[in-house]
Amino acid sequence: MWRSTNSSNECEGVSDALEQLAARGEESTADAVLEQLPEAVRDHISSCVTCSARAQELTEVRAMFEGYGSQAQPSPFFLTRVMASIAEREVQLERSAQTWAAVPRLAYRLSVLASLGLLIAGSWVYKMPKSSNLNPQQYTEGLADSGQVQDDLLVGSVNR
Amino acid sequence: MARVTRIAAELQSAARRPTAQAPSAAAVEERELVRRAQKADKAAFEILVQRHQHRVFAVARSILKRQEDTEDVAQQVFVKAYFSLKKFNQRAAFSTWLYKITVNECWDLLRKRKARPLVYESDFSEEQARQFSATEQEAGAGPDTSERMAMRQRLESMLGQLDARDRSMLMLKEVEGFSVEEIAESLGLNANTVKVRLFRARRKMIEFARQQRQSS
Repeated sequence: MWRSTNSSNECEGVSDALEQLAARGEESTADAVLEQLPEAVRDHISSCVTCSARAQELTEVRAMFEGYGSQAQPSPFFLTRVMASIAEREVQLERSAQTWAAVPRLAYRLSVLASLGLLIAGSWVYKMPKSSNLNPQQYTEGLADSGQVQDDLLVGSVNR
Repeated sequence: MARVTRIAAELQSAARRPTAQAPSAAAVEERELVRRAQKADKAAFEILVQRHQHRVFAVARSILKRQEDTEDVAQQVFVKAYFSLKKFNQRAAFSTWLYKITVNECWDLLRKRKARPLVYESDFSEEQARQFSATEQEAGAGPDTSERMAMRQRLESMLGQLDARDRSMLMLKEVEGFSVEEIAESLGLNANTVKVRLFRARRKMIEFARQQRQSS
């Protein structure tokens, strides 16, 4: 069991080494990847079925990608476009901040206007005629007596 | 056998740290650039863009189908990074943070486009074909251009049959030259997960190639 654990660790180490070498040599061919390995590692690969299969797969897939150059190239004006985008966004944020900053200044004026409006509206509603059947004389009565006047009116009409 | 293990370990450590001094100096310099960019120093941010744009393009290209989308997403990534820099606390490397933004932006774009993530179609448009053949002729490839184009399309057809994440990993590994650790950082995965998925993706590619040979 110790031997199998030891050999699996070796295989893992060789596998990691194969992956690392493949990452380092971007331009190297599949065979060149194996040639970079020390002789002892190559001997292990040739004697170990698992590592041999893994190396075979790695080199076969690398061969598929030979000549497949990276297409990930930024255009020459990429940096200019990024900085222009950033500047544009900063202007937008500044405008948005200015709009929100105007709210406290306007708030006082808005609140005064709103209060006046409420006062005028409230007075108008309060002075509105209550019913169309009322004697016009009632309009000259004081506000505090309006309820009492209604009762007196009824009593007065009965007494007549 | 122990000698093999020791040699393999040496190879791994050499691959990870080609030079002992350079990475730490570069990392310190990068941290300083990020700090300056966080204080709205645009010159510092421009240097960061120039350093990382190729890798951001590589990550985006490995996920997206079209070059136009790659450029749009890369631009959005850097704009987003600029305005989110103040939230970046430098616990991880700037590149790791940037590649995660790139991956998220790519997946967001694909979701918005309602693209099917399991399908990757070759987008060799007429214009791209003309550009490809012009490039090949400049390089002196001559009459093999159409054959190379056909091979490229076959490869892209096989890549299209892979899961989007596996395809992305394979492209980053085989085309862009990322290491397993860099792929793991970019895609937010564990290194062992990346190794296993690469192993499976390679097996699938070999199987697809065999099927293509049998069908032709």
